[in-house]
Amino acid sequence: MNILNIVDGKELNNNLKIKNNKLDLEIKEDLYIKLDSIKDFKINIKVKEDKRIFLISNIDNSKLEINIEINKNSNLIFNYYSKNKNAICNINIDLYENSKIEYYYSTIGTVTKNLTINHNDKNTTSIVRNHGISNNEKQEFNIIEKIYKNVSNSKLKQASKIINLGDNYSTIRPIMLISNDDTEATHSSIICPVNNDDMLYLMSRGISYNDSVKLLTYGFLVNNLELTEEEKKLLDTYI
Amino acid sequence: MLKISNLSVSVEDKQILKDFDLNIKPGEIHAIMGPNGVGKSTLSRVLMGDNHYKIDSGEITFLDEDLTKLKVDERAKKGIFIAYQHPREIEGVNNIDFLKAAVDSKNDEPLNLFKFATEVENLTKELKLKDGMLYRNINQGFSGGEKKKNEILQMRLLKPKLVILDEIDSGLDVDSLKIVALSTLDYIKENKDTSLIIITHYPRILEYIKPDYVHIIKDGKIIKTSDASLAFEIEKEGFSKFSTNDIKEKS
Repeated sequence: MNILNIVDGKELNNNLKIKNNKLDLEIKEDLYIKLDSIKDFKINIKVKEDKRIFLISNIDNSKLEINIEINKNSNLIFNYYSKNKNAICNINIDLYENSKIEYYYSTIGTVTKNLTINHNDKNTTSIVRNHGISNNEKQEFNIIEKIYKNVSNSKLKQASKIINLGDNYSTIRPIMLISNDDTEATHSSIICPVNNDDMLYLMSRGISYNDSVKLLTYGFLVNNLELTEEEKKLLDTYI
Repeated sequence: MLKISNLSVSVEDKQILKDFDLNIKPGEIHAIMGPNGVGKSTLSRVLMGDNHYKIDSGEITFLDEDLTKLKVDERAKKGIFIAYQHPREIEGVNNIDFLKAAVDSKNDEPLNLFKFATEVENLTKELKLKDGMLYRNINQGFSGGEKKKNEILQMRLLKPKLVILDEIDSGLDVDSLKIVALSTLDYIKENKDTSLIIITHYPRILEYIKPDYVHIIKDGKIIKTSDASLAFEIEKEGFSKFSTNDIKEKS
C-alpha cells in the first residue's frame, strides 16, 4: 500500500509535486491518503484496475474537492474517515462501463459533504454508506446520483445515518436522478439520537453513560468502514 | 438484600405493578411465575432502572440503599444483574470490547488482561460458545440459545450479588437450557450470598435450580407464595385456578 501524507499542502512521504493545492493521481497500487491542515485542496484520481483507497482527513475551515474517474471494468473501494471542523467536501465520482464504487464514509465534526456519482455507462454499480456523529455541530450529507438515459442495468444502493448527541440539526438529502427504466435503486436516511435500549443494555453492565456513548459511537463510525487489517491499524493509530 | 414495599409502577399511564411486596434475603432463590402481561418483566426492568417505567409509589432498597436513587450503571456496579429475555443486538460494538469495558467498569483496579482472557476462555468453553462469537458485534447473528449463553457469560464475569433471569429459558433447546442452568447453579454455589430471581413460565429450569420460594403474580401483585412444589402444580393445572382472592402465604 502506498501512503501519501499531505500536511499543510505538502506531501511528506513520496515528494509528490503539488501545484496550486492540486494533486493528480493515477493509482497503480492501493492507496492510503492522510490529509492534515490543508486549505482548499483538490485531488483528481484515475482508477484503471480494481483498487482500494483509504482517506483520513483532519481539516478545519477548508474546502476539499476530490474527483474520481473509475474506468471501464474497474472497481474502487473507497473508505473515508474524517474529523473536520467547518469543512466542505465535494466528491465527484464518474463511473464507466462495468465499473463499481463502494463508498464508505464516517465522520465526526462539522461537515457539509456533497457526493455526486455519475453513472455514465451501462452495468455500473454504486454502494454508498455514510455515518456521522454530530455533537453540537451541524452535519449535512447531500448525495446525488445520476443515471443518464440509455444507461442500462445500473444499481444504486445508499444508506446514510447521523447520530445526534447534542442539540443541533443535521440534514441528509438522498437525491437519485434516474432517467432510465431498468435501474435498481434503494436508499435510506436516518437522523436519530443514540438508541435508548442500546444504552440501557450497556449501562446495565456497569458501563457509565459516557463510556456507553463512546462504545456505541466508535463502533458506529469504525465498523461502517470496510477496512483491511492493515487499514484498521492505520485508523487505530490515528484515532 | 432486596426489599420491595408497596411498589406501584406504570407505563404510559397504564398501571402494571400495584402495591407489590417482595423481600429477598442473601442466598435465596425466588421464582416468579405468572401468565403473560402481569408485570413479571416490568419488575426486572424497574429493578434495573429502565426509565420507560414510572414508579408511582413504594420503596425499593437493595443492600440497605434506596435503589430508586441510583442510575442504571450504579445499580449494576452495586451488584444487580439482569439476564434479558431479549438481549439487545448492538451494531458496531464488538462483544469482547463490551465485556472488557463492563468488567473494567466494575473493578476499582485496572483490568488484568491475562486474568480476564483466561476467565473468558474457560467460561466460553463451559458454555459451549464458539470462540468467534467474542469478536462479533454484540448478539448480532447469534441464535436464541447463543444470546442467552452470552448473558450468562456476562453474569459470570461481572459476579453480581443479585441475579435476575428474565425468561432465560425461553427459546432454549433442552441441551442449551441445561448448560445455562448448570452454569448459573455453579455460580450460585460458588457465591453463597448471591440471590437469584428466576422469572419464568415453565418449571423446567426449576428442576435444575431449586427455588426456595415460588411466587405467582397476577394483576400486578403476588397472589400466592409457596415452595418449589407450586411450580409443578402450575405446570399441571395452569394459572387460571389462582386468583387475587388467594391468600398469600408469607415468605
